[in-house]
Amino acid sequence: MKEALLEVTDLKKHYPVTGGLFRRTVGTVRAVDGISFDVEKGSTFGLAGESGCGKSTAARTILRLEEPTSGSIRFNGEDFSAKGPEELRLARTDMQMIFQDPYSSLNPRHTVAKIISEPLRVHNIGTHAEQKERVRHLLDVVGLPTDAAERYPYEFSGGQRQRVGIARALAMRPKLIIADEPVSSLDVSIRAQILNLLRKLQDQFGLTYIFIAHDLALVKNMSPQIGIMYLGHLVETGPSGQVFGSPAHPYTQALIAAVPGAGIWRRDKDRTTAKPAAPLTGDVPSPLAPPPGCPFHPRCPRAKPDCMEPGRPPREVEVAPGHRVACNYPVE
Amino acid sequence: MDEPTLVVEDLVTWYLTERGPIHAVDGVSLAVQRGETLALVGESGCGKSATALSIMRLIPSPPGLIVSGRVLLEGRNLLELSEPDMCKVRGGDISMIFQEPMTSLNPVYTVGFQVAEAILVHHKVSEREADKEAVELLDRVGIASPARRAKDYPHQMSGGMRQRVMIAMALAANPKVLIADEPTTALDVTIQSQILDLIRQLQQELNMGVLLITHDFGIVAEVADRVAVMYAGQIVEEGSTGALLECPTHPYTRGLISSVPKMDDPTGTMLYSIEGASPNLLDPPTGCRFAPRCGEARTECRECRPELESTGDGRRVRCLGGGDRR
Repeated sequence: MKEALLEVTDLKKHYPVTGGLFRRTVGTVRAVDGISFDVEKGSTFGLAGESGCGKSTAARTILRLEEPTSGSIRFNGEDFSAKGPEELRLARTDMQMIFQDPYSSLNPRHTVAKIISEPLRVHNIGTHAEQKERVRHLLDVVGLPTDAAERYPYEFSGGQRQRVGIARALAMRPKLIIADEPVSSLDVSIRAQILNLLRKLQDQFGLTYIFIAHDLALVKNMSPQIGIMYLGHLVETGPSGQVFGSPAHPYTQALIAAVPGAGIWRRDKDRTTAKPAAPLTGDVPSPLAPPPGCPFHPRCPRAKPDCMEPGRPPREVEVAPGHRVACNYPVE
Repeated sequence: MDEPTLVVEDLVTWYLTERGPIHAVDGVSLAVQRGETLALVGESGCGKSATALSIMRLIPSPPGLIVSGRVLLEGRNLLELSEPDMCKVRGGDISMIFQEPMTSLNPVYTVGFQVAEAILVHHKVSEREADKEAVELLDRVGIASPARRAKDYPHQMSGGMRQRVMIAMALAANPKVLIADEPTTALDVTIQSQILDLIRQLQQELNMGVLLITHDFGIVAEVADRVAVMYAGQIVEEGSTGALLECPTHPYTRGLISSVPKMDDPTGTMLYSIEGASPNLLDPPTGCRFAPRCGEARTECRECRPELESTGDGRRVRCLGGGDRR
């Protein structure tokens, strides 16, 4: 086993919901409800799930952009969740984020040079000339022309803006980059350019990624290890070949079956994904009032009475080495 | 072979700007039979939505302008109809559903009212009968306890439910053609597959022609009978879904298909990437529009404009190289 750069244990993020005359707490949104996983140094951990499953909140909580409700985050061997404000500020230089929307995540009034060098200025790294040189180097690394430095975000296409976002994330020489749906707002022919760039940068700088996406094929392509989230829970984690090849959780199975067109793409001889399951009916329940017992039971074709018992979360089973599933009746 | 229900011939649509016309749709021809699904695939800005809006004559004008071409619905040219006649066609013979069901529904009326309204526009029935039919339609699109949900407002429904309501409205007048513009892009995969199943099932029941606009080849594989791939305002390749996905001939189609990660690819598979970006349609390239990004472009590709030529088996391709087969 290689060394883990990030260890997340039983991480929870609950948001109080207030209402009524005195803004009393009337409920809790359990956005992230006890997730645990490790991310190996230099590797990619993929987080997949439908919208509202808590994958973005998980990312923000790991970076402590949101304070965790409970649980621990160990980064590079240190307890990241217990750091005070100043320590946190320093430690965060090792972790950066790439956002989904390259249109709203870049300040339209700043030149590209100013956007990329902002983290350097915030942390007082290098002289002005050194910062300028660093920007020039970063532009080259992400495949943008040098003259991009003095231009503004609106002059660039979506793909080029995402390259600017990546350059900004690289400015502090981070160890970990969390990429939250980095290509979902881009066109198909541009996506591959950005994905290949992310992969090249990982090799070049030994980066560790958490790659968040709703597109399963994309997550599989990018991540050797993956986790499937549903209603704030990690329902299945493991090597992506395993998880997609023989999914053990009924939700994972249904999610794979719902990927459109999988049938035509693959010829039987190179079939590595599981046989299609019955389509899921119904909608994802509200995280404000998650179902008792297993959160998936109302939509689950395999649910039995004990899956619905309040206060009894589904059993966690290791179905194969490193392949874990939270389900009372996992798929064989 | 039956006469196609909807035929588009040599459609040209421009957006007029201060810097000159943007050639959004540049000579698009296509045909949809009853009971058939034709997918129009392409990236943003390729003109697929502009084509759909031109068919419905919903192109905002100005700045939009349908310059030339014909749109024939069972032989009748829609581009020559008066506006009142066209109003009867919209939502009557041809219906359209859009990507974002929240913005297409009126937030201050119940969904039952909105579906009933669509019925009243096209049928001479009493309001009570329309209300009753609305509930039946909601039932038909798979909304549970339709009589109760008819009293809901759009914000009380999930995205998938709202798209079902949109489909119910679109079906109010038994259309001959349904134009679906990215109908599932805003939805989650498990909900997406429910909506695609619904469209497919209703299409068979009503024997509608469906023009499906999408950027997702997975959806194409799932629901389309035929595919037309658009690039920079033109159709570059057309064929039956199976043949086109198995053996794409145009370099753009080939590039696009191989740049999509597939579920069966092992982790770490390098993706093919088409370098560069789509051309500016204010001033499109003189020769083949894809030539600047094409790995196989020759000198003549940059000078001569290729025509969409038939290569047999109902396939058409716009490539001077003849679309080398892999």
